[in-house]
Amino acid sequence: MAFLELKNVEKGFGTGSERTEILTDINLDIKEGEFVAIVGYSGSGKTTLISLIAGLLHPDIGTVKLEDEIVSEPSPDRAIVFQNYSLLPWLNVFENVSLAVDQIFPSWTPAKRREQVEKYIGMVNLTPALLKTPAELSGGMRQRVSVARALAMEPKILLLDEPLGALDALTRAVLQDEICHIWERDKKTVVLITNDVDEGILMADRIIPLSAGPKASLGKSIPVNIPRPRDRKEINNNPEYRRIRKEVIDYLLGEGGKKRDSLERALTLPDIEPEDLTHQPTFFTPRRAPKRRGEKKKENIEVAA
Amino acid sequence: MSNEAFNKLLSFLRTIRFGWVIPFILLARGEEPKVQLRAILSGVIVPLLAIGIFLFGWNIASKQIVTKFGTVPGPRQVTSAWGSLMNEIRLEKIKKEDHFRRLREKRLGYVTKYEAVINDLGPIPDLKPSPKNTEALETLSAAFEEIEELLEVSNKVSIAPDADTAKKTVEGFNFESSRTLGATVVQSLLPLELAYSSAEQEWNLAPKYNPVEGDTEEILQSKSALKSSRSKSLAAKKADLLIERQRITSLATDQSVGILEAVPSSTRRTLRKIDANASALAPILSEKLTRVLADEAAGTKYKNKAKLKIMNKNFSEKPYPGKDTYVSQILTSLKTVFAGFIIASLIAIPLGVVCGLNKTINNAFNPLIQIFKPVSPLAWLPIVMIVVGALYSSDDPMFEISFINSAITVALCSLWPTLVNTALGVASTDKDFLNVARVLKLSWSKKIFKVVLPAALPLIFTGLRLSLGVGWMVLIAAEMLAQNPGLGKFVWDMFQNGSSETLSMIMVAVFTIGIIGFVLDTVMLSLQQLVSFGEAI
Repeated sequence: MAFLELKNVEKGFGTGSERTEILTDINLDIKEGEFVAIVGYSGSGKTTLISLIAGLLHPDIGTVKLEDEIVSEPSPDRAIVFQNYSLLPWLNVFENVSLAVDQIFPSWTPAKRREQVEKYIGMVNLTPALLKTPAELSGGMRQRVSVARALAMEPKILLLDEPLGALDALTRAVLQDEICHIWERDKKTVVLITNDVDEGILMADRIIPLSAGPKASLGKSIPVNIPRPRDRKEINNNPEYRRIRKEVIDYLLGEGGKKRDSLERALTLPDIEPEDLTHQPTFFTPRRAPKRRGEKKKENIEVAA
Repeated sequence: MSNEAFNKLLSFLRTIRFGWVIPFILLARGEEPKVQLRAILSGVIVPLLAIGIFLFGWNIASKQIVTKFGTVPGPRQVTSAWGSLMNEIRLEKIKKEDHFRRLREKRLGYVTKYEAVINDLGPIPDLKPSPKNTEALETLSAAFEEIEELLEVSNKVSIAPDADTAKKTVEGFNFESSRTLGATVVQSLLPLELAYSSAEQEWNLAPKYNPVEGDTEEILQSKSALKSSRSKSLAAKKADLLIERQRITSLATDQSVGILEAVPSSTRRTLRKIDANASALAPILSEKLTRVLADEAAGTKYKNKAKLKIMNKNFSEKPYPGKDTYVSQILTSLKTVFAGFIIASLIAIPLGVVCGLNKTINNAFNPLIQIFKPVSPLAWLPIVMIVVGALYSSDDPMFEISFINSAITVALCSLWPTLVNTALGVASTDKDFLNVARVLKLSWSKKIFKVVLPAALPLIFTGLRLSLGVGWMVLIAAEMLAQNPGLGKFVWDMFQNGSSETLSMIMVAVFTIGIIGFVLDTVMLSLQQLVSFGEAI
């Protein structure tokens, strides 16, 4: 029996002619303690997918179940780490984490709650920055706080929505390792959304490509059978790594990318009305300058597979 | 000082609009003198130069325009008007002291006169004219004799027809200080008075220069030129005279204050003791009177009843009926604007939060907000006056009705910026913050107070700052019409009484209003920056 189960999930936005189908036919089974990475194009609906799992959105068709219970609203059982950290800027690191802890464990003693907060801040190596506000932290440090907040909630499943997308390559590598370490300690179920195939392979037990939107759906699930801990320097030479990488990329550029061919999108075209040179300007009737009206057009993009 | 603390200090200075002192500080620390000097040039010298040019231009221009109150006041006249307002405050203090001195003497007089009544009261606080008490009273009286003469000097001397008569008047003064002041008046004020009265006589001939039939173009021109030059010269002489009068009055007040301050502290102690005893006597007297009245109703007569009544009347507490000074008018204005501002905030912030949270409610309120927002205080005030007049009537009101009228008008006009900005701030709360609140399942009140309101705080404070600015601007008009004894009424009264100082007084008010508005804005700006949390995340 699956721990997290998505069955025939469909989700779209808008109504009538403005309706866009984002996700169709999503089926996903995740076992307890599994680390699954979902890789896909930007704008293909990855965030929509994770919002559905979190309960922030409801599927139009199909069901999302966690431990056989239908997910109908957000809950601390499914903690999310957002791409843009979403730390409350008026609270310091400690307060940001303790806001969550105080809310979720109201029956604990204050001392125990404090211990919990400090434990998870320590786990992401931020104890020295305990009293700093998010504005005083770097991007990587902010994301660590966000991870600590999610972990301190002791969720059943941890949802990571492109958590490292906004970071530079070096910080990203450090945080990838850190998240892997933490995961190995208590083997929590994790769903990682990313647009970086290498990141997925490096971190996850299983990698699932998401085809390009609209009407995105999940491709074939590919298990990553590379022993942990994985060394990012060595892994490039690992034939298994290369095979998985090729398979995912082939899917995304081939079968999964094809759906982009009829992509229609709104486009703002510079619509210029030229200056009227026949008109002799006077003080009261100056010559009309060229005008840019910026008309909205629809554009149809053909994508070569 | 550590570097971090120093940087904090600098940014604090910038916040409170004292950024211009920073180059001086850095220069003193020897950091890049060239850069600092350039900063001082552009940040300090240029603004000072601009002020200087403004004052100079104002000074020149003011002399060219003659109104029915004299020339338009220049910087000198306005400074002098400011001095005369400040002088009034000190004068008011002297008058108050005098009032209590007379009261004291009157009371002690009654104590001596109606000994019979006093003896009937049993043991009472010491109010007998003991040598110590008498001496203290006499010291103060002597001081006031001198003060009275000092304050009268300039009036007496300046009506003299010529310098010799004036000198004789001065010799007739009792006190050395008045004689010295008198000499100054003869030397400086009298010539101006004489010059002015002769210019006035000349001006009275001016109708001669009105155009009559048969004047050639040339004559007309010279007549008109002569008339205008006379009117200007008269106005200029009057302006000089007023400034000098003010200076002399200030001098007299200064010396008077000096004389009062010279009263020894032991005398002051005695006087305070007398006052305390007098107010201790008041309840004893009134109690006795009640008892006597009750006895009388029961049939027993009290032979000193009339005297007792007089004593009771004289010893009952009466507040000093002081005149409104400029400072008290400023304080009234500030009180009114803050009252209005608080009423406005108490309505606007909750309403704004509700509008920001719910699109439907926002849509419901939006047309009303858009229609009422641009309404002028002058349109609100009559409505407010009538409604408040109907609803708020009491014999002993806690607040003056004019105060309530002005405050509510201010509130009605300053409501909108806070309302609109709060709604905007709440509505534009980062969606991720709300998602965090949803995942954590925060309760409604926790969501509002821990997430939505803190996120909206910078915009709320922007709104509050705009509101206070609008409120202060509106206040003056409201006070003028509602007759609330603040700056607005001051301007209105000055306009109505049409004295020669009218225009300069109004200009003093203009500068006062401007400076206070600037200070209020700076305070709000500092608060606003205090609640903004660095960069948005």
